[in-house]
Amino acid sequence: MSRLPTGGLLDRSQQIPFSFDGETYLGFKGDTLASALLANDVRLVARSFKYHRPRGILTAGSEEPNALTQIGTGDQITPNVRATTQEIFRGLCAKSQNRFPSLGFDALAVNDLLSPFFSAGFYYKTFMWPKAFWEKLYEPIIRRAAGLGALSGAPDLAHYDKAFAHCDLLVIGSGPAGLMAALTAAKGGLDVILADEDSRLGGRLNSETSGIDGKAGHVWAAETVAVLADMPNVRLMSRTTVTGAYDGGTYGALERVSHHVADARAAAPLETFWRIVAKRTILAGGAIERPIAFPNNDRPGIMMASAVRTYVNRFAALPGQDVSIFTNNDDGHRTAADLAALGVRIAGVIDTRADVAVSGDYPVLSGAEVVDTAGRKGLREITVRTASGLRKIKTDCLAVSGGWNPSVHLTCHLNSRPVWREDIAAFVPAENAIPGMLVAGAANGDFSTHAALKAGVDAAKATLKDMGRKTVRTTLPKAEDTPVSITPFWHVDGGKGRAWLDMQNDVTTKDVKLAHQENFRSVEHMKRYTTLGMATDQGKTSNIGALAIMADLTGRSIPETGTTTFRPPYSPVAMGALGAHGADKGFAPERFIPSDLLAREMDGVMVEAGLWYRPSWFQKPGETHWRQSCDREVQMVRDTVGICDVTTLGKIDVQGKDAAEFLDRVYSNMFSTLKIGRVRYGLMLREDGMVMDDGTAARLGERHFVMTTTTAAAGQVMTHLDFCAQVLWPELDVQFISVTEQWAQFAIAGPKSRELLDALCDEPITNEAFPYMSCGDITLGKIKARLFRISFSGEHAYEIAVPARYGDALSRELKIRAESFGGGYYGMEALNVLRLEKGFVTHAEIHGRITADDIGMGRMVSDKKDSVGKVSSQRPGMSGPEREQLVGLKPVGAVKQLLGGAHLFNPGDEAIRTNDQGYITSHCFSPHLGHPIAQAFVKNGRARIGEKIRMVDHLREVETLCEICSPVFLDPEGEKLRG
Amino acid sequence: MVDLIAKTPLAGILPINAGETVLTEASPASITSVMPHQGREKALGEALKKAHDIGLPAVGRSSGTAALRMIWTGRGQYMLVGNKPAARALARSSTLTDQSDGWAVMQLTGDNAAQVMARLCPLDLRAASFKNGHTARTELAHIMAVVSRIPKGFEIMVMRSFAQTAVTSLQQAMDSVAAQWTRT
Repeated sequence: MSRLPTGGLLDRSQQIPFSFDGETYLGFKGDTLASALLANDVRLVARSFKYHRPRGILTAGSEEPNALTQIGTGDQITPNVRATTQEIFRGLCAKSQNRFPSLGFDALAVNDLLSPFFSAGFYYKTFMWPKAFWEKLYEPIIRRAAGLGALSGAPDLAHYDKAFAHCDLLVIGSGPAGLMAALTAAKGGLDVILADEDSRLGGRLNSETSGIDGKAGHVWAAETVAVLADMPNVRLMSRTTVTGAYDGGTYGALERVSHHVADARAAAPLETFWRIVAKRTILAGGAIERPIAFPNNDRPGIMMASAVRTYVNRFAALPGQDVSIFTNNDDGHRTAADLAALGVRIAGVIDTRADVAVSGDYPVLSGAEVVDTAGRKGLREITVRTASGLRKIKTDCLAVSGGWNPSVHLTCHLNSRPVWREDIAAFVPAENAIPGMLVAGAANGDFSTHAALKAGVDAAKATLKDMGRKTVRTTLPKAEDTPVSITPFWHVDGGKGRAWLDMQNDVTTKDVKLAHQENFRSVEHMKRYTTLGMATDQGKTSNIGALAIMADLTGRSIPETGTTTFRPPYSPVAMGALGAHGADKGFAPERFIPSDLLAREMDGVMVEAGLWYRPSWFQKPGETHWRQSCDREVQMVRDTVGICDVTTLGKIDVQGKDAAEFLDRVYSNMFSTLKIGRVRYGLMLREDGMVMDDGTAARLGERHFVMTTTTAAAGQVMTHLDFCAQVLWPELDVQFISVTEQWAQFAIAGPKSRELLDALCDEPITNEAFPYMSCGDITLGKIKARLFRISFSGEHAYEIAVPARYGDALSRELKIRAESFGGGYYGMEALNVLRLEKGFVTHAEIHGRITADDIGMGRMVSDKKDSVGKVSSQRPGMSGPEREQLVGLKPVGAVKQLLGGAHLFNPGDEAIRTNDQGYITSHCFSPHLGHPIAQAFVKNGRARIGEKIRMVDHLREVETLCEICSPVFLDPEGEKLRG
Repeated sequence: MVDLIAKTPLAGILPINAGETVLTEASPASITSVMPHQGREKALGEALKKAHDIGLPAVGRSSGTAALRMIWTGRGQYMLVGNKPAARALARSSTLTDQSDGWAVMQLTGDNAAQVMARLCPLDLRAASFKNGHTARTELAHIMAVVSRIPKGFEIMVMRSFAQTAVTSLQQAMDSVAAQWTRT
């Protein structure tokens, strides 16, 4: 065990068992998977991406490139979980990735021996020919060998949430700068959200030994957090990573809600994806320590110096017994001091600087470099080059510090570029990189605790002032203010073995040199050529090192070389979280018709119509194919009476002094002449002269109409009317509002429809009181209802509307009564057959490129008045024989099949595009005629009735000889309608 | 003579609760859309004052009491929700349309109501920004809704056909919030 007997921010009273690669270990509450593994002497935790090199834990944070594991059991597995951020819990089951058959013996480690073949650009150059081999041979093999975690292929059953939050000030990061910023702003009365990706707020204060106000840093942090938690205007969001900065002060953030919980209640989400809208933001996201590239710098046991401090101080887990340190700055010496204080043996501090000012009770090799390491599955020995020659040092843990990179990522999400600061040898955010955002603390290059505390206060005060709030008094806590002392040192020259930059994508210094040699010299080109920084860690520990090498090679400075673009997300976000509640029924809201319950009781097979669900057909016992149900329903309507819920059609109540004038202008035909109590079919054109929608409008009073629209175009028509009333003719006194949902409406169609209504209504329905295309109020017991004598089936038919609360009751009443006549409900399929037999159009025909003349309604564009689209409809090319016109088709050859979307050709012509004569829009089997029928658009179709035409469906390979006929197959005189 | 039985949009579905949060159906006696005639807003305001002692609410506001509230719902559009309004008096300056059956009205109350709404509605509904008497025509789980602040939480109106989907989404959010422990 490498667990220190005391210390650490752990709850030692809670021992937690967990498993890694099948072995069970014990950790404490407060441990991450990484710290618990280190405490259990597990150092080899992963195999690398390309070469399957043994890898250990490099960092203690979300920037971790190596220690990716998969969490979960069975097919519910989350891959690529960073062991450094995953908290352990009872029953946690973690496994290493990308190894076969096991982590200790990985067969694909042979790739490592073949490494000369796998350097940057290898695939591009090698697997080019033969072309077919790429997809079938090379790619599958490479994909199996390379990679990180794998998905099970099963759907993710976990529950994710999406949520919104709003605040005056979002503080990102809860280190000294973030805590002081939040505290100061909250005291000033701002509504503050403090978000941090860690489970424990406090940032580096939880990892360092330097104190604040005479207390341990973590104690001060905990006390400050407690103060904040008690303030009603502060919201603390731990385990929440702000992943992206977007326009208008909007930030994406991922909260890990139950990844760390053994017995999460079923309804709790795994993660919540937040959109936080903040008036102002203070970024206090800290900095990330960067490595130094040296030969064989990727062995388990080589880690960041700051990570070693985190493991020792926060987790009481000792990463090694004989620790060496490789640094180019004073910060590396902190690790030595902390370890020495704990009595850990320091094998040596190797400092690249010749003039090292710091010293301690441990050997310091100044002006020295680590040039090689040994130990396949764990570091055993390092080779150091000093002025006096090479020297081997026995060590099992090498702590590396190459300086700190401020976390500038978020500040670059709106396309700002960071600025180089020579004194700290690092990029810092540009000023005003994100509107409304200030940057404080280490994220801005203020590395001492004192500077961070002060920057947090200053940023909060600036924010208060900017928002017009009163300033607050604050006392700055006392803390260390060590100046930064660093001499840039990026990589060790010479030496044998590869020096790794990007551990996650297996990119070495040699790969960068190769990119340069092959002229991929822009950092963006270099990134793509080598894949550096393209893995899930997005190169947090490798970017700067790589571009420093490129700068060397090109003879440019680092700022001249520049960085690649940082884009959201800051750290990986599961698709499940982004798509929370979007799967299955969550994809779109469902709208239910008043007779929905009855329809489902009757085995209605539901189909979507926009967001609505309508029955397609009602399956009766013995019916095995939808056509049987459909044919029966059609015959039923033609013979007796059928009922159909037509509530989904848009209904718009139009009132006002100028209501009639308004309708005259939006409909192509005349409505001001319509008598009260009468209904008229109306055609609406778009401004470009094409048909927008059709429907009926009923006149209920001098200044009162009810317009109906098709189900599909209800929203479009409403939008159009609003535009017309608000923009085109604001002078008209007209008011309109949707009443689609107010009324449950049912079609009652068939020769027995009047008999049914007579029995239902209190007064008999006569042909005199309710002739074809009339409307009026009727009473059903205590209820006032509306009756419209209109028909979409060609039959004697009505539509009855009752307030929606009675919809369910009426649907059941109509069922009983229709069945007493041998009738019943019919669905959308039967409705379609009925209208096709009668020659009515739907949006299958008026699909947006069709004029009134095309569907034979040219004369409905009244010449007595102006209306929307009228002038456009009169342009040349909008009507006439050159256009495709609506006709009917019937099969006349041996093949009877008609297919929607099939194209039409003259008999004898080759079935190619240039000979195209038109296409079929709708088709059905007509039980009335005993054969299929169709509606089609045919060039100059109306003049060609009686001609033969050939239907060719190139996709389904069907050819049918047809005769062009009138689209009206049933009762062309309309006697049934008026009967 | 037929005797049809009335059903409210969420009969048999509400009430539901999760933890402290409760979702109930409010069944106002009447919902009437009120749209002032051209240039007659002032006359409507006076008629409203006289008939019901309610002022015409500004954009994004509602006026009146729990018994009868006038809710702004759009440009030149209000909903009178509650007792039956004095239709004759108001009709001289506005167009009235019965919407009593067109909308489902729900009340979400309890300590975590705001947390539930935060999972469904993108608006800033913090108590300081969305006060009593504030109302918004917005979205709730991708459903067009009218959301108003009421003393103990929120009143949510959605069109009748969307009511079940809205409740499904609200239930999910309520369960999710109830299942999440207090933050540290």
